Amino acid sequence: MFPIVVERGSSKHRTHMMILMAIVLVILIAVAFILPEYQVGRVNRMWAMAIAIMGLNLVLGYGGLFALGHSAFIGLGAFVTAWLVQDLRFDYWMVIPFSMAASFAFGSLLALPALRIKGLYLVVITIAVAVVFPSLAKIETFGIAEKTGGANGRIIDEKVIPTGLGKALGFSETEPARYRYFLIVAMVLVVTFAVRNLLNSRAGRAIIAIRDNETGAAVSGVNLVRQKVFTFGTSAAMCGLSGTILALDKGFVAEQDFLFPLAVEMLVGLVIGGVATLGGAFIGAFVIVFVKEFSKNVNIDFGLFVLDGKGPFSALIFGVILVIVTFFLPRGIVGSLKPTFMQRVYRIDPKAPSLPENLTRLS
Amino acid sequence: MRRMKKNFAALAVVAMVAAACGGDDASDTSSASEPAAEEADAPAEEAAEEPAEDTGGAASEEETADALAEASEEDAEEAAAELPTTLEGWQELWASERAAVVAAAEAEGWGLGDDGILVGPAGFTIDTNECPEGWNNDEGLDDGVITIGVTTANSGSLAVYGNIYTGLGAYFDMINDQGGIGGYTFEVIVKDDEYVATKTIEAWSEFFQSTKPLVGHTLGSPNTFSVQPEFNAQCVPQVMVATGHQAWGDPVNHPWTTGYQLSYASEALLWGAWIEANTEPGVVVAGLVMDNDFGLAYEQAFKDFADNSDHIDSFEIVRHDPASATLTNEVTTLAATNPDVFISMTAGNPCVLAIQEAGRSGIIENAQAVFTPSVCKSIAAYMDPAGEDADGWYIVGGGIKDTTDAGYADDLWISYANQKLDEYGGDSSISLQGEGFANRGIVWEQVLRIAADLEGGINRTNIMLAQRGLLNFTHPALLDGIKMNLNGNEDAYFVEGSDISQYDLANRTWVQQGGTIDLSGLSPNCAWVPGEGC
Repeated sequence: MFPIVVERGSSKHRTHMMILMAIVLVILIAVAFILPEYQVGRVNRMWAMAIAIMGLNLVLGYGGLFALGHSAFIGLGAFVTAWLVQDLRFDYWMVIPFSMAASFAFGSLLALPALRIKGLYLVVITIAVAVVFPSLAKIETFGIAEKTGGANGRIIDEKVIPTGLGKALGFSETEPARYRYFLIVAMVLVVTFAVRNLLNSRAGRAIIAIRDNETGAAVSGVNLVRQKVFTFGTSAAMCGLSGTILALDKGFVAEQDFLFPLAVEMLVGLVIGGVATLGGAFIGAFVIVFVKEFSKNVNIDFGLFVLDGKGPFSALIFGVILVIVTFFLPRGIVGSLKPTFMQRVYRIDPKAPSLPENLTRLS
Repeated sequence: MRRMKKNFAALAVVAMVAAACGGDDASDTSSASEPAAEEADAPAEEAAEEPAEDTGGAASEEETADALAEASEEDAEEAAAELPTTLEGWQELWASERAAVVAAAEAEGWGLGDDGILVGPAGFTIDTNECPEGWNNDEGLDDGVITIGVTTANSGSLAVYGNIYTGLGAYFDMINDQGGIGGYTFEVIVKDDEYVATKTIEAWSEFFQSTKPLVGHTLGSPNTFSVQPEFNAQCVPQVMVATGHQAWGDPVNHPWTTGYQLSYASEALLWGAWIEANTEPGVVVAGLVMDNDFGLAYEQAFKDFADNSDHIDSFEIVRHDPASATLTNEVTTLAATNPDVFISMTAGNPCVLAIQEAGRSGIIENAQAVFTPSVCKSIAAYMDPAGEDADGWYIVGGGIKDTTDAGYADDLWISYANQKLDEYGGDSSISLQGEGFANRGIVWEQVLRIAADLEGGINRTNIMLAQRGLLNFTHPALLDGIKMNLNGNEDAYFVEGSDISQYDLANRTWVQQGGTIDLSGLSPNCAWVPGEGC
């Protein structure tokens, strides 16, 4: 029975893809109604992190640029959202282009050193951005602390709750996380579709070409400056959107939520999910949200010692899980399992080249 | 260039499509949720209309200076002489203090009326008709086990504070073994929020929908801010939160939230008052500030004091990252200002680093006084590891007895608490566990016993009444002479007194300098408005 073999682009392949998409759609809808409301809130954060990891993947996985400052872009998106919604009374949907644009601009600035600096040196510079950003969010100059909430954080009292169409569709005001879930999933689908198309486009091939051979890419006509700035900017804009999603879902922003450990968490998600894989971002986000949460609920009695995740051992348990996954799946979950799956379960053969009409295939 | 434009255009399309996806619903939301937003704004706006109280959450500078001058060792000795000398004596004292609250409740008619209005002392009221539909004053009391929900940092750079709840959990284990309170036993459920507000919100969302604890408790200012509206909207007591922000003293707008410890603002004022009383005019003060909520709260309060003081010539500040592995650069920079007084405004492991670096950089040798903050008042955790440099440091100690202080080895309550803490699975050599057990646990017990004695027994409104009406509690883990009290809308801060002590390395003890400073009832309430203050 296995492997199922299909030819790429064949009607059978397209049918399978349609079935797969239908199954994914059903699961996406079912999740919102099967899980309790508070878990849907966590799923919402997972989606936000998936978008951010996809953004990091663009720079690090596909672009080969070792950047670790993406927690700052998420924070920027969240703070811009809080400022525009709370002070200037923007509607949430109006905020999205602004938060993405602000993060795009910030990311593009960060790309400038990346034009000259590579490898570990770039890592150091981007880490500096991640470390400095929370402090910048608290400075009084230009009223920044007032806009971001400074050290105490800031409540966004404009809630995204179901009204009008949302209510008509059966969403309850007392369970707004489910309603927000569908708004967020819609954004995730659009971003995923856009990134997939970007990677298959000329720009995407240029990003990968720079990673694989920068000189070769330049010789082939890739404008390195433009492409790196674009890659960094797009990646940052996605993180900015992630920050907006977090702000609109949680209704609170605080600089302490965007410290450097968040950037490390994103890197963990990327590596565990699979570097330079699209699906890896979702797996990685699941790991850093739900597996981490699971590690806090572990309670194993070893007789003389109780391994209790509710106490100080939660980080240890999560760390051990990461070590085990990395040991057995060194290229990440998607990166390691996908080739096996595509070989043994579902094989997609390339489409056979069509022959000129005046030639016949030899049997 | 054309390709670049295409790229930007593609991004713009993505942005607009994403925007449009949320468009209909979000725009619906904005219009229809305006009334809700206006309601949420109302308390803040009302507060803003009131005259600004610069000293909200702390006594005025004059009152603080007067209290410092009036504090005498004789008064503290007199207060100590009146205290019981046996555990049974303490139990009787606490019973009489509980009886006084219950008697006052009966006499004054405090309680939840048939109209759904909770009436308490000094104008304190809560209209429970505004609580959500299905709200239950007796939530979770059916099975005889009362659940207490806690969020704290158990991992991350401030994970050390999770120890408080190991101690508190041990205290409730002891209470349960002794038969519980009011016919109930207790379960403390702790969730790790990593000191990240987003995760605090998620944890409380789970608590509110799933576990449904009778009462809750949070650690950290941003974390507490992030869920305070939900607690008050859900009508769930947010009890004795572990943060010294002055915003928790707001019984009018946030009646379901109570603070606990000496506010950071009060502590900063006491630093200033001590400096004015004990140094020559024209002093240079250097502040090493942890760049987070409490470090900046200290900084702001002391900066306000220094700006108004003719005595202080300048206040030099260097902030440090909370996760910083070393403080060499920061303290060296401060040493270059030749400070007369050095104040460490930090927490956690940096408490030790600040002391060591102040020693290495010559600050300790040259300055007239060096202060470590009350959150660093732990001999085992911070003074012992700092070595010889720890000798002679001053502290505005918040009136708390450090359970690892050798000076309290013979203290009746501290020695009993340390023994019981070890017995119930804790570790008495960790002072934060001692704080959870000896300091916080006993107040929880007193509050719950008062609630049990009120009409209706333990329930949410009685727990709030018990706190707001805790008119006088003689706390065995606070220095003699410091009372714990709340009084409805008039006095919203439990602890308003403090000691000023100096560390004696040879004897591993804090030696109190002068008497106990009593600021009780002097801190005005604080209707906190972000960006404006009290």
